[in-house]
Amino acid sequence: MKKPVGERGLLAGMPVPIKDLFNVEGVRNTQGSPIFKDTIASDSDVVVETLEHNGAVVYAKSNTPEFGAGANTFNEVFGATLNPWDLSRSAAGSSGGAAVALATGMAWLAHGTDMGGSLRNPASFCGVVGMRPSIGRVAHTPVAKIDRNLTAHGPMARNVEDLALLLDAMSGEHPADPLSLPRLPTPFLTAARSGKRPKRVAYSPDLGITPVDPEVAAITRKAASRFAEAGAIVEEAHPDLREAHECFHVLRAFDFAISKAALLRSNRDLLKPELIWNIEQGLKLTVEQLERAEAQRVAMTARTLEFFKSYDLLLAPATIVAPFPVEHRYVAECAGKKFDNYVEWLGIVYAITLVCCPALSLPCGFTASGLPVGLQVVAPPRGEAQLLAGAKVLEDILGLRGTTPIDPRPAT
Amino acid sequence: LPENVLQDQTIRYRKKRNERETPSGILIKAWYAQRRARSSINSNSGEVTPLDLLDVLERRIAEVDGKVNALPTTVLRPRQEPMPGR
Repeated sequence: MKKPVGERGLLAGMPVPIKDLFNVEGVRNTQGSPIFKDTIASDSDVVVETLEHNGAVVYAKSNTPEFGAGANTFNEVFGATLNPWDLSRSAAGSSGGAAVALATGMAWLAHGTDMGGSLRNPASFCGVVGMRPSIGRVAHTPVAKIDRNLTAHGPMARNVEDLALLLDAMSGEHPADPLSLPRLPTPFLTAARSGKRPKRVAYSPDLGITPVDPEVAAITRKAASRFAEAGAIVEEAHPDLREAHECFHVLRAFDFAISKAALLRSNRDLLKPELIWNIEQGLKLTVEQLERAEAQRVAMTARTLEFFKSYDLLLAPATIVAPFPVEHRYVAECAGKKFDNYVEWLGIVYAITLVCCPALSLPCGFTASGLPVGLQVVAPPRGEAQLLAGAKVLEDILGLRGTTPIDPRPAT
Repeated sequence: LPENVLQDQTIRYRKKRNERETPSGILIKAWYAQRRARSSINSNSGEVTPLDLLDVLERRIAEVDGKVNALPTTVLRPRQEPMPGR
């Protein structure tokens, strides 16, 4: 017997893969770790329940780095996920499996999460769209602590409209997640299609805090300037985010200490070195360091809110480099600057995480060697509607919709 | 790559679906293909079902995922029937 259209849910049977960090009842959830390689989930995460309630069919788990740590998708359980634009390159991460599934036609929509850019980095490297929503927009099962506000669940797709639809199907409050936000009266898909153009847009190649590859800077600057074709004023500007590295380093380490210290004690030999380092950094933190980091975050967020009184959107590269060789565990150097640790190269995205803004990566061009480059589009907190509307306007101008799916391409 | 199918019983999706309605019960109309993922779904008949979509994905995964390793765990069919090419 057919269900009436109105009862099929927003997705009406659309298959959606779930990142292999989260429970799907009856399905293996490895978290990319040998410790959990045979663990079968006995129940589903709230985000999975929400998606299934809205008509999603979960058919796969997408690959991720061990516990989602790092922006190159490899782990000891499944190995590395390869970039389909050049199979010798990284797909980024940590939602790398999801991005590659979209880019190669193995998914139309995909779920992911983002702490230090894990929805935006792989979208940029793979030529698809990935969005980090505002905290609380997508309800999830609280793990380790309630106020885990560096990480957000979010949608990935091949274009802005599909992304907006999936966000509609993911969002809404849930009693199991006390910090989740209620659904908005206007669907995000409607907002994306509104045609509402930003009046004033800021672009920064580096947010004032990071080196950037000159080719990536040139491609993103050129794409940002095309907002002028929609009548927007485009200026080079950014909020003052100078404390982002120190602040994120402390708060991320704190998060890892809370959620992974027990694993370090019980299974140290099965954790990758970057994880051990990150957890140990957290265990060494002092209250004074946490106090300073929280104060930095408050100050950066206040300055960013002030910035958005003058600009509707902020644009920047979603990654500071084009896809790098997959055998490199992370980017150790860019434009002559050496990084201190495995996440520092992600400053251009984690700075936005810290100031609580929704942001997405939109395909905006290709390098001379044919690798995709993503433009990070940022809106003020809870401004997903204007973010999606602006991104759709630019997507139409750039004309890159339809460049995926592709067949995997050999190394050049 | 390790074996990709992890459930011993039937497909999770089909099990759930059978609890609720018949396979042909969830038809997705042409409007769906147009509105939901119009850049991606090619439906000559004007309507597609979730099983159609899963069949498309199953074929595509068999064709592609051995090269990119994006979806190491699938729940499309029982363990006894590993997907071709995996």
